[in-house]
Amino acid sequence: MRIEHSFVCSLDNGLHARPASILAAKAGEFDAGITLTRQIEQGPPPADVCSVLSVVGLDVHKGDTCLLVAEGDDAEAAIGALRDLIDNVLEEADAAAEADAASRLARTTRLPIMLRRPGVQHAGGQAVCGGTGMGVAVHAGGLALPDWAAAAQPGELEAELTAARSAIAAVRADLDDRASHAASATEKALLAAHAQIANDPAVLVAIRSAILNGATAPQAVVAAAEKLSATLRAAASAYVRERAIDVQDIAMQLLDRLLPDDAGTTEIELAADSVVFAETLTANQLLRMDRSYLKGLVLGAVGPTSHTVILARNFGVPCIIGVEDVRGCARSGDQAVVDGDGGFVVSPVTPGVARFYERENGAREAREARLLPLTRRPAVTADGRRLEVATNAADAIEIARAVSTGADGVGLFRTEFLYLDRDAAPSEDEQYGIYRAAVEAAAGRPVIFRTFDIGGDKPAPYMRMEEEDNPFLGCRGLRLYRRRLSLLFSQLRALLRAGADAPPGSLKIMAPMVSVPDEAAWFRQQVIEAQRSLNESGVPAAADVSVGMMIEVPSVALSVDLFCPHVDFFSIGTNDLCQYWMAADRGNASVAPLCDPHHPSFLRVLRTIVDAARAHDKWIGVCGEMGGRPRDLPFMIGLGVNEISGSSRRVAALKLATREADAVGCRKLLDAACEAGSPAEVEALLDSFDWKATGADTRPVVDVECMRLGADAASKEEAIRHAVEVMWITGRTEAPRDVEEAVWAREETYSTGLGYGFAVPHCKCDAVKAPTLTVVRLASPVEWESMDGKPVSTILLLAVPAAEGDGGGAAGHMKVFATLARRLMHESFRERLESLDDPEKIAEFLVEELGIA
Amino acid sequence: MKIVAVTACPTGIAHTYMAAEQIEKTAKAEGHEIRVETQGSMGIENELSAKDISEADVAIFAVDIEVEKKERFDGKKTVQVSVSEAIKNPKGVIAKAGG
Repeated sequence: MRIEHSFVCSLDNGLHARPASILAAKAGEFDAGITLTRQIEQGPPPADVCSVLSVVGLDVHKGDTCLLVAEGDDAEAAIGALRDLIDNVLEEADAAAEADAASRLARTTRLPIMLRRPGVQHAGGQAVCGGTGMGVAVHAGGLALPDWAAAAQPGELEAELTAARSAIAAVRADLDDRASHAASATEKALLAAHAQIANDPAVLVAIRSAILNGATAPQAVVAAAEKLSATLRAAASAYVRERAIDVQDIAMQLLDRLLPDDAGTTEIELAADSVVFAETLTANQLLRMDRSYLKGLVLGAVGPTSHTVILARNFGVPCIIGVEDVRGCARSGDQAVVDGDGGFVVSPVTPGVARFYERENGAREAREARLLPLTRRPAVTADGRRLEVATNAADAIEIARAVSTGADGVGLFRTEFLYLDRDAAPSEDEQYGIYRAAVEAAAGRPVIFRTFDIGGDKPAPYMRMEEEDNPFLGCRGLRLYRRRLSLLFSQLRALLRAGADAPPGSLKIMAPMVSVPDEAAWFRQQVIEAQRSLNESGVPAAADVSVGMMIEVPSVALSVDLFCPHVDFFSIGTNDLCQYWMAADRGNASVAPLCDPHHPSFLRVLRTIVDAARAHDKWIGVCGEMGGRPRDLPFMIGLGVNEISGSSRRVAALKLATREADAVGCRKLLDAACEAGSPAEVEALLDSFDWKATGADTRPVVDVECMRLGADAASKEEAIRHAVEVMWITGRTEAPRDVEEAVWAREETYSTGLGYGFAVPHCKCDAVKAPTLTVVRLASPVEWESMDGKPVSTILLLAVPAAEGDGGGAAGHMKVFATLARRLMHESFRERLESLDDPEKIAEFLVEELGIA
Repeated sequence: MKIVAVTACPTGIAHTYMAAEQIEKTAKAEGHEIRVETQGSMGIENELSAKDISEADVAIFAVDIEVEKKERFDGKKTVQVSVSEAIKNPKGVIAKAGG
């Protein structure tokens, strides 16, 4: 029987991988041979509907007429079923693709003025870990065979074919297995799509034909992947082109099966300072890289909350994600710079780009050196509330770095990474070595170790966990311990041994995923048992250990008092608590907006938790994302937590900001936010509420610190940049690029070059912390489009915080600038200013002339 | 000649005051009587009174934005120039005003 059905494609993104895979799955249920033809002149040959790759290769667009043909006994039923899908189901799959594409477009790219020049090649992405890093571009995850495998001669034809077939079967089984364990719908869909590609007849056909042409199985995999991805890349739709990456991904997995373990196809070897480019990168791949050479990461389809990104943040590796065409944004071996603040990567590195970053790094170092003495002191608010600022960490290197910038301790040492991506659990001794190094790196400061937090989302293969419909509500964290008692025991022993010589109380152990008081009591009992077993065998162990728990389950939130008898401390995991509280998976784009920690309901529960802990005199910290975000700092201070813990890079900034805060004001802000009607209202409060201590910034407008004579700048851009950097170094702004933008926005109305070699660039913006006059005298003048056409050598940068100018003390600062502007119109003033060649004298002269008391 | 003037620029941090100073300085040097009001980020300063305005022969607006309380000048002869012109060429601006 032969049945035909003609239809017009109504999908906005065309017949891409997702709808195609839905059709293929259905077509596979029938015996009939089913083909699809795109009815255009000289169109491609009909595609087998069972092959997603073939269908995608048709490149069907919206509005194209297609012909579905089924031949076989059940042809009628098959066409009926496919028609139903086409008419009713595919639109939904298409919408999902659009949501994906939209999330990729949620970029944060901001190219600094200095780099907005012709010839600077850059690619944008979402900034997830700040800082900048420069190095050689290394493409990871590419399909390259080791030399010996590329040169290998094929064995028996049948042997090569069998090897290829069994590799495909193994990869397929593995993908199916992972899909069934996947924690989020997105991940599940991705794995299922991959499984389908592995299953795709076109893959086997391409591999077989390469083997028949004399290739070994691995060579055939590479050849087939190249051929298939070339077809996809030629497609007009960006979505289809992106599927080429999926094919490469499958090919890599096949190679992993076909080549010996140590062939190094997925291991990334770095031999010099490098920026690693990869469409996807596993946490394990990242862990195995030589981090002393890893200067930056440029990633494609990697989520902001993936473990890879969490690790990158912890390691302080500048990282951007969501980059389109990762492969195309740099040539292997070229220099590249990742800008994790601006959210972009530049490659190749032109001399101008290199100079920009050299200068910025120089300024950053100068700033850090200047701020170090302050950040090493305890952070105390202006009204006397102490806040410990700790770091999250996964290894000792990171702890050492955080401690050097002022971290008061480690608020969360994650241990699950030790358990993932390996065939057997880590031994007690292996763990001891790692924990001991962590304790030593903390140099007497407290370290909170969280015992392994493994569950559905982070399965460890040797733990063979039962399949769960809903792993996030399943057997994870502490719930797993009773079934894996020996694993917990060996970890507790290793931890207690590692803390044997640490100061009393500095070793802190906490359990994840505690929901009822009995579990907390049980956990403490296990620690005591482990201590006893070590004591009995005469092994040195920490005697004074603090035992605590994460608060991430809503049941705990409203009964903190019941847990107090069993624990020494609490730490709030805001990420999971928010997901459970709002019943929304933040990895699921359609519900993620619900999972907003600024929801008044969530702020209320945080307030309830902390109030209860404090009423019982229990130490409480925050180790979720909120704990490390400068924007949330007033909430953290308002809550009255003892400690916050986030990325090591943020420690210094958070400590400095704490010093300027007013704890009473922060509490008022929190209380107001709890009464707000929506997250948007909370954001508005955060923007407008004055939670800083009044008069905290008493720095003078004219300060000898902000005078730079003989500065080197080759252009107006560099001169402005230089002046803004002076503000950054002296702590008068935390966001030099924002100040720079504001100055240039003003500059665009008309030039601030007022003639006679003087320029008065100025701005009024949020990023300015204190009214500041910065004086920069250049070694050689630069063009400024001045009113008299002459180049400029003296720059007076006038910067005012946005809130200034509304009377009060602010008027005084504005008056200084107004007076300066007027005085500049007088030749005698300009001549005198130019004649002075000592910063002290210039400051003195200005103070006097401008009538500053 | 009696002149009144208003200066105002978008940010109101520097150019408003530079223009005010230039016009005032130049007018005085040329023997005119002048009063200059600035409309900067500190709001209106040296505000011109109704008397100042009615007695003046001409009003100069050296502005890049709208003059505030413009109705005060209804019926008065006015000359409007940009802030940068007032800074660059104050003599020319006063000449334009008939001085």
